[in-house]
Amino acid sequence: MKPVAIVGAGALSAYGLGWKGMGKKVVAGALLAAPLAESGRSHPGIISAEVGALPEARSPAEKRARGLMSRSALLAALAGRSVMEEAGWAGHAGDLGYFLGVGASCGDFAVIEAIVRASVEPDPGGQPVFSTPRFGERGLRACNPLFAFQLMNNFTLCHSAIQEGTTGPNAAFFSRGTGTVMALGEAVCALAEGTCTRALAGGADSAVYPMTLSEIMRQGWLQRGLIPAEGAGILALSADETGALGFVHDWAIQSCRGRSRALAMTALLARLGPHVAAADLVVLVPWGPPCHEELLLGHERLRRSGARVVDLSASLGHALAAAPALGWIAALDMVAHEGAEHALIISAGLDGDLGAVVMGRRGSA
Amino acid sequence: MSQAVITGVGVVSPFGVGAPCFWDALAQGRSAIRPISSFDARTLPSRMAGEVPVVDADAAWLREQAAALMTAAKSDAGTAALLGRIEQAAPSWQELGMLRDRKVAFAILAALEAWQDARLGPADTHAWLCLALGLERALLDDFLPLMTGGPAPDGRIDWSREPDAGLPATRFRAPVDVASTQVADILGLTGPVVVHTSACAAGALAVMHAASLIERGTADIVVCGASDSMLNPMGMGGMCRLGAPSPRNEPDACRPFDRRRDGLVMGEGAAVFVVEHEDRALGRGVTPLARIAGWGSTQDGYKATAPRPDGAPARKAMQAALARGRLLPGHVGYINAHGTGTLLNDPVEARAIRDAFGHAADHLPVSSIKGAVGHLMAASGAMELAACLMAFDRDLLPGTAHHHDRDPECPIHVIGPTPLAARVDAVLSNSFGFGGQNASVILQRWESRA
Repeated sequence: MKPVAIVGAGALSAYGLGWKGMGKKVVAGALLAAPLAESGRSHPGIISAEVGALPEARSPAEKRARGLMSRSALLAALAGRSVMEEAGWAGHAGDLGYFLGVGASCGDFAVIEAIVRASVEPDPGGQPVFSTPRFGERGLRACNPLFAFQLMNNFTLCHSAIQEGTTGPNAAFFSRGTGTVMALGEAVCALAEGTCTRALAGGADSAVYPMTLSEIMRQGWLQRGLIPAEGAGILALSADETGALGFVHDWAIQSCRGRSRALAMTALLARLGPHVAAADLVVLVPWGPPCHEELLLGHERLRRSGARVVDLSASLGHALAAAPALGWIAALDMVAHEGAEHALIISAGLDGDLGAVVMGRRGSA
Repeated sequence: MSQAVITGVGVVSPFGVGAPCFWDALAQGRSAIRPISSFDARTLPSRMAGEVPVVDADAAWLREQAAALMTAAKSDAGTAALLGRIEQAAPSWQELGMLRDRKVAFAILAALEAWQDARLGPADTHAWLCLALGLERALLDDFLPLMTGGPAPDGRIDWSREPDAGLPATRFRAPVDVASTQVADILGLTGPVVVHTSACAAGALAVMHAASLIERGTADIVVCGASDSMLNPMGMGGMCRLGAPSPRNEPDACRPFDRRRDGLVMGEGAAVFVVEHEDRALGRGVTPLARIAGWGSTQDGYKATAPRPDGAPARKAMQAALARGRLLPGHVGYINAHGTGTLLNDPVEARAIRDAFGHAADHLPVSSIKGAVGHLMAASGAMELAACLMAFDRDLLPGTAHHHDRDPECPIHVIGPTPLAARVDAVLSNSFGFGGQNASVILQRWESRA
């Protein structure tokens, strides 16, 4: 694979908006998590790594646009603007490609509550029941006519695309980890095939949305050590190496279906070939501590190579579709600003599969 | 020339389960649009849909339909094994609430049919799965036990009540990827699973992705396609709130490209394909159904609420598909349009077709099956590609149900309700999604090069 230049990045995480210095913070390993704030009233006592205060809308039009966005879409839009400005592409999107890993829908939960509230009526025994006819008569009117644009998963990509005016090849992949790596892979392939000359690739998600939190709690992930987080990470990739911050040298997805994660990790590292031995930095993005232990099998091989190994989740928790992208960006910070030469980012999400991205300071070996 | 070929297809449509009944219905010019029966839609503004003919797509229905599909197909040990997995798993899926979202059952059945149609077996389980899936089904009534305030709830959700609420494991919303996980489990797939979630363009994008994976040498076989059902209160209600569906609750609610069109009609279903490298397929002794010759995707980057009026990105998607397939406009013999029947979409698409095809558009037959089956949202692109296969199998181009009086703002050659007998060698299918994602795919008649 011909290395692809990274000419910008945008990130939103518990560290705030921006990515410079992110790698150092991850290396330092201090867990930036606190009791749920915004969602605290839904699940009190849960420790999470939430994004803090968001930048104010720059215009009335942007404020209106934000009203149509889910939390994930807003995070993506902010990261998308940030990366477009850094790459010098803002206002010049043209046929820019856009490939994003997205999570489950997360429309304004207060609206969902209002819809349900308006759809309840007593049954003959006086007990409240959800009434579909009442939903049609009253419940629907409790939401904005454009509420659907908050609910649709693809709008995590599309709101940002509309904001930036991107018109090139694109796809939204549902992601609990691997889909985000697939998004990067498709962006890289689009550049290689000449379908576009520039592309954005990343992921955005919020694990602290009440329904998502309910799901991951119910599935036992929190009990096993997952710290829910939220964020967005987007890379700007270009066929033009001018101003490159780093390069994507390779990427891969490894299914764990029908095999143990340890064996899958072995297969993944074999697939990456010489990049493994060449790595001086490894960023692991496991969903939590038990998964980190499973990935350590590869870690031992990497330790022999002298690579520094850091765990993004130990600092930032796990932001589902955004997690791999935040890992790439932490690695990019180390490559671009802290002297790392060759980084390997290995992600393992709730979907059970593995993803890997190889990043280097230089375009050639 | 692209090496990606389709070797199997499975369809669950508003006409029923199975690709043959889908094609038979289209060939007869029938429409499946009727009043919704799977839930109480009487107070919704729009109450018509292309509904798969089952009220409750539960475990019993799934098992019954799977058995019928397997009986129709070649009966062997592999078939028995697949059926056995469904027999074993379906009851627990039911108990866990996984079948509360209709698209799960649809996806499983369509995938089964495609797998059997392609004559696949244990040697093929390394296949990738690229499935396009729609929005999660909202299970709003699940919140009731969590609402505070007793008989007159104050409407606040108290999540601390969840553990004792007695709700099924799948609650509040059906996860997006349940269908893909179940399809992979049933077929015994060990390759990567990719879920496309690009709204109305997703199905086409999933098929394009499969073809790309084959072309790059990343995969030699991919099970791909789409499944969706928004025929539930929040799905239909949300669309009604947007104002997208026709306000007329009549069987001809959707009239693509017609002067009297006034909106779309919702539909549901699934279409799944097996896409392989041509050499692999021929080596197995399988005759491909079609070649995936070209594809292209673009974005409007314009507005959430409307397509870009000049249709330029849509045009570019079609041109990209032609360029990739190394085809000229005159090589395409039929276009299956996105053709939703909305006031905005149809003229924009028509303009894009004219701009992309130039004078060739004067006589190029165009139709939309959405008047007959509805808008299947994430599944629409895949279902429409399945419809395109009829062109090669029966030399018959699908008609446009309920189209009688072409809108002058849509200056293209629209096939009316009666299917058109024609032999064509290449067909193009458009899918233009909410949010401005555009996808165009070209299928070519497969012919042996021997």
